[in-house]
Amino acid sequence: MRTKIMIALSVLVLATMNYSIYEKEQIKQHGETLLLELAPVDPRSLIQGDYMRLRYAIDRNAPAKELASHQKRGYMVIRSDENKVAKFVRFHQEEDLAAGEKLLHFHKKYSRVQIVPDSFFFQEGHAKHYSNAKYGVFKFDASGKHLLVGLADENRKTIIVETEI
Amino acid sequence: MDTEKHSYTLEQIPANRGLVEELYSHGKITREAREYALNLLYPHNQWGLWISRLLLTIGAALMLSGVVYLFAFNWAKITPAMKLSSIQFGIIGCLIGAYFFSLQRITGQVLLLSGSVLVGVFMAVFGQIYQTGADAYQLFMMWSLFALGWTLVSNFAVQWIFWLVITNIFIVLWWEQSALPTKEMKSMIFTYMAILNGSALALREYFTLEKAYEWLEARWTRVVLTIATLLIMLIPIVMWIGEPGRATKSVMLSGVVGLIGHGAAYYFYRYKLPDMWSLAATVLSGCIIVESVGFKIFYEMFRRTHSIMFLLMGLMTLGVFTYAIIYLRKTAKEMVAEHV
Repeated sequence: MRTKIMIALSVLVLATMNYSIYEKEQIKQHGETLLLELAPVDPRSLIQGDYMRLRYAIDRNAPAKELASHQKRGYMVIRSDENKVAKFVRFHQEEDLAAGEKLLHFHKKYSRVQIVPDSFFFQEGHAKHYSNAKYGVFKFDASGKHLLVGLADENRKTIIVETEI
Repeated sequence: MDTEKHSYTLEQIPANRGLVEELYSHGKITREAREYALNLLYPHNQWGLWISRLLLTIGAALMLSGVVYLFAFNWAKITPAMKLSSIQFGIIGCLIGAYFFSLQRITGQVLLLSGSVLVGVFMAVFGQIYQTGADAYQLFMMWSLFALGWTLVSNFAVQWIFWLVITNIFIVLWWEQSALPTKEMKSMIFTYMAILNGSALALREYFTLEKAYEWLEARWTRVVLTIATLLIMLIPIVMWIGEPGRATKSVMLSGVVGLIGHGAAYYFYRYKLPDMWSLAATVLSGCIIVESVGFKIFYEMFRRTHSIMFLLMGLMTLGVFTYAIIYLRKTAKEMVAEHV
């Protein structure tokens, strides 16, 4: 009996794992690309180990004072400009979205707005390739789920690290 | 009461080195009998078994770290699909092993545990590939959830402790990353963790008393859970004592919960389920509380004359720990007397 339960659970666990991979891959392949400008973080070299802390310009430009002090999380409305760079429009308050507008989830910490993910992982030693990153490259699916797929330089070109074999 | 005390049969008295030595020193058994008894209780080739197990553990650990490093150094060269599928094959391999060795045996249980650990590896790699980094609590939440079912059927104490560890990490991360508590409420986490680990300990004691699960009876499960719960309960108490002026409501509440918890642990392990290890841990934790109070008082009294402050602190430390050890030794003797 215990063995049967174990097998059933294992199937469930593996199915869930692979479904979540599938879900992410769908966004990655079919999602709409949108760039989010990275805010210069002081000091600039916040590269620690094998990941990089990210701050977005949109975090700083968003007028956090407009929010009620008890509001800890919510959505902001963004719109992409001609270069596919996302710009803050307003905080979302249940209203319908106009064409081209997207929702971005945020949470508020110490009266500052933050969006996730606020870190970017890469292989140890690759930090130099990403040090001049200017944009975070996101993929958005129709329902607004998004995925950070890479970083881009000031020409909005995704940084691809050539690995020497 | 007295007759009850002597109603134990010879078979119920546990034989150990101390007993054999005592019989020998009182001249009840000969030197040969002592040697024979000791060899029977502690076979001379036991160290060989110990060495063999130690080498096995070290070997397994080295193999595993080799695998980890292989992945770490070739990270960007392995495609995401390769990373995720190889970990999944690892999980499937462990589960097939667990099936064939059966969960009744230690081999099967260890394989199931390895599978559960690999789930965490999968979650970490998944988080890196799809950059879900910031929400680390979700990683541990999914890990804890995925491992829960296997843990329930495992009948394996190590698996349970492992599950508790990841669940504790999940709760701490969730509290900081998702619940976003106010400063006033921040320290409530100590209460939550004390409840989680305290309940685990209480369940362990309940099922052991009921003799429901043999695998749960190993004494180390009690010791590990007691020490973990005591530590969690100790932190808010010491925070409260250290800076009473800045203690928030949540620190005070967690401190009160901690004090009640310490009292309960003392009562149970002294009178209800006598256990020297757990009692000693509780008393030691109590000593730290008393020490903190003393240090705080001396610090406030002799802010300017540090030499007197440190002298008094030293003397108090000697006194507190000496008394605690005298008390524990006395109690240990009483416990033996109550039980044999």
